[in-house]
Amino acid sequence: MSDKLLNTFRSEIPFPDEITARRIHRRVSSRRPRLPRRHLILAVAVVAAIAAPAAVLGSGIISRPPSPESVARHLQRQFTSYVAEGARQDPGPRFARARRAIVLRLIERNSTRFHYRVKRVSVLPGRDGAPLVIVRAPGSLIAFSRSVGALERILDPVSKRPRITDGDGARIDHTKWEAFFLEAVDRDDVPVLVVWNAWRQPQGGGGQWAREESLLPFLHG
Amino acid sequence: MGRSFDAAFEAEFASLHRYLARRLGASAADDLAAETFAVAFRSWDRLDPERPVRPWLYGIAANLVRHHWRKERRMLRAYARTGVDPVFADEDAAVERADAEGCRRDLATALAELRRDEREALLLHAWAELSDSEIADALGLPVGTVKSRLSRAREKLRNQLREVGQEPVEAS
Repeated sequence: MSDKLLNTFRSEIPFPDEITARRIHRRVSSRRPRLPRRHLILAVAVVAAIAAPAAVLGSGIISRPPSPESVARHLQRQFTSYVAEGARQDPGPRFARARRAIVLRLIERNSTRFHYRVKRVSVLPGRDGAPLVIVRAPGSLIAFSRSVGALERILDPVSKRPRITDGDGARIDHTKWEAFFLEAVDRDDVPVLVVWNAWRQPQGGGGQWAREESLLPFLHG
Repeated sequence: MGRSFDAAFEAEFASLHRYLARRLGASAADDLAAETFAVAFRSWDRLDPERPVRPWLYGIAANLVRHHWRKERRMLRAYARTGVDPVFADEDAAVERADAEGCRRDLATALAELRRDEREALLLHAWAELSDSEIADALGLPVGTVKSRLSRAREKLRNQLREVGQEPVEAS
């Protein structure tokens, strides 16, 4: 009888409803490194690489896929624009104030552990400041790519006091800075990968790009 | 990757949430289920593709529930004492389950008195419907240890219920 009694004990507790499941899925998803926009960027990059030659076939012009330099430049411009737009259109949520000296110190402090050298550190003038970081990874690019998740968690950790809420009023776990951009280049200064985050609306989101699929830091999203 | 995280969430979320809600109430279940899947997401890349997801998830949940074992015991004791199960308080504080047949309150007492690891194994078996080997996988124990914990837990429940005059408990 014990199993039967045990089975009926609190058996009135219902399964969670769809709204709860969706809310928690969103909550979990918000901790993902970067979700939809990463796909978007990848899709854009892939489409650009594939469609460009195809698009000009008819005109007889031979075209090449975009170079890593041009993709990285494009992503930097896009990020800069998102930060500016976010500060203008969604100034409400407050994030940690990013100061270049603090960001630089943080990045330099981790350079030995993650085998990179600092190439550029700037803080874009968003509402609270958005670090844009470029590092040179002279060693194994695969190893560096695999360590990007851990590095990002140090450079842009999840905020201990989340201030953004979703449509249901539930707090969303977000990272420390309002936006963060990390680019790695190889020893010849050719861009290897980019990851970025931007939390302010209307175009908040995140993304990753790598010049080869095997160098993408995150498998998900 | 053969398995997607979203598919695992879809397949396991509802039952895991309910399991946690039965143990600690709906609002704690929200947090624990979210944390379980957040941990699972972070470790997804390292999950052995051959390893079943379900016991792995319940193992993560068990580690998280471990931090709440005093709360769980307190809730079981409160239920036994008052006949009002705090687990339902989240949903409808006004509903008194005072009908709470005596045997349920006795069962709550018996569950509260179990050792933490015995309760874990027993509830994974009874509420999460995991097999012995799945519980072993979830808790990182040999199957023999799980069997003995289950057997001991059932024995204790039987004795406890017998002491208060409830029906004798059959071993399953």
